[in-house]
Amino acid sequence: MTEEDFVYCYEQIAEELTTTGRGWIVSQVEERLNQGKTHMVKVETLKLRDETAQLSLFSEKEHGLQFQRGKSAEFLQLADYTVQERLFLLLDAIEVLVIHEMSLEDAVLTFFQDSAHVQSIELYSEQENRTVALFQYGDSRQKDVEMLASVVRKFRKEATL
Amino acid sequence: MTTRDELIAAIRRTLGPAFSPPPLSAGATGRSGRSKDGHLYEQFLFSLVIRAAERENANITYWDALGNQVATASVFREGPGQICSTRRPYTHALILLPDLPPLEVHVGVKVSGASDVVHECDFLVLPQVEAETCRRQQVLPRSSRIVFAIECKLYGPDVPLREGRGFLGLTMDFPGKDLFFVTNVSSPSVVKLLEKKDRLWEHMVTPTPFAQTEPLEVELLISAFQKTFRRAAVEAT
Repeated sequence: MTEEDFVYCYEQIAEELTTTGRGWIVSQVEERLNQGKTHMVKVETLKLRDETAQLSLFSEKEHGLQFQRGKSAEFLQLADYTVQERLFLLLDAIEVLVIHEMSLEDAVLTFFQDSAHVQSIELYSEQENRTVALFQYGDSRQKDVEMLASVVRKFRKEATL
Repeated sequence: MTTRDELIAAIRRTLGPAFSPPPLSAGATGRSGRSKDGHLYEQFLFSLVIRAAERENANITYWDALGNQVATASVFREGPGQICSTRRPYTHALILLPDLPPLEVHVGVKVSGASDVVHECDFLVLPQVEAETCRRQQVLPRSSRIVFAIECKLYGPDVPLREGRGFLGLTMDFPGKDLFFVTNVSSPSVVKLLEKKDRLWEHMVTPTPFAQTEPLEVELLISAFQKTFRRAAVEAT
């Protein structure tokens, strides 16, 4: 894939998530992208040639000459994600969330079924004054989740070529 | 080799059925919209607290906001609300532990902090007497009376540092109380911050699908909840 393909794919998937009500996943990823990626680097610091000398504000040349090589030290370096990394972060987020959601749903419904014989869980929004989600014991999305996970893996493989 | 459009079409086909829950209305949210997914994370942590209490030999029952024992369905808030709300029969657990007064476990309730401002707790354990006072008097629980609270964060990528900073601020208004920061993914920068500030946290807490044993992080969190129950019992005697 070319850089243009990475950008195109990211935009298309982000758009799909947003229009189907999963825009919060895109928001999470974009917050991470805006933060940039960090890593520690060891660099050579500078030190003043003459600790007692006054820095000249008027002569850049003279100013530069007053520095000399100092000790190495670790600094945090911040960089932007590449367009390929942006796409991979979005694919990773989809994969993590869809798998975690399925396992959470199974774990919670099984727990309530075992401990209180509860067959369903309802999430109610007071702000919207309506039920926003209903989970039924016995429903399984395992096949759908496996299908999506396999598509994501294939996508990642093609994007690595 | 598959083309990019074929890959995108495959994602489009499989995305909808794979995510839960099935939408109950066509009202899709924008990028800044609240998540309609991920709320079962709080219920999952609810189940871990109950398991911690069971390991401490607690007697556990489930009740709704109208005072009835839960029969066939559990109802939880999608967003934080008032503990006294009876708009829906919201579910809470009642925990009876040997050396503690009766406790209630709630998901998504508002609490008044030490500085008398309102906070939203994803998850709260408090004495039944405080919860009942709030229901009868239509007031918010006081942070000084809670046993512990949890901030739950379900993320795809790493949890941003902003969440850690927010949590630190929250803990300032719950002096002397156990507040846990719990997330499903790794969160190196948040963990570094919270560890340095001596706050309670656990990351990568999620059930592993199809696994016979619990992930280590889940076990560690259950143990931490048990310790909190024990500490509360010591303080109560």
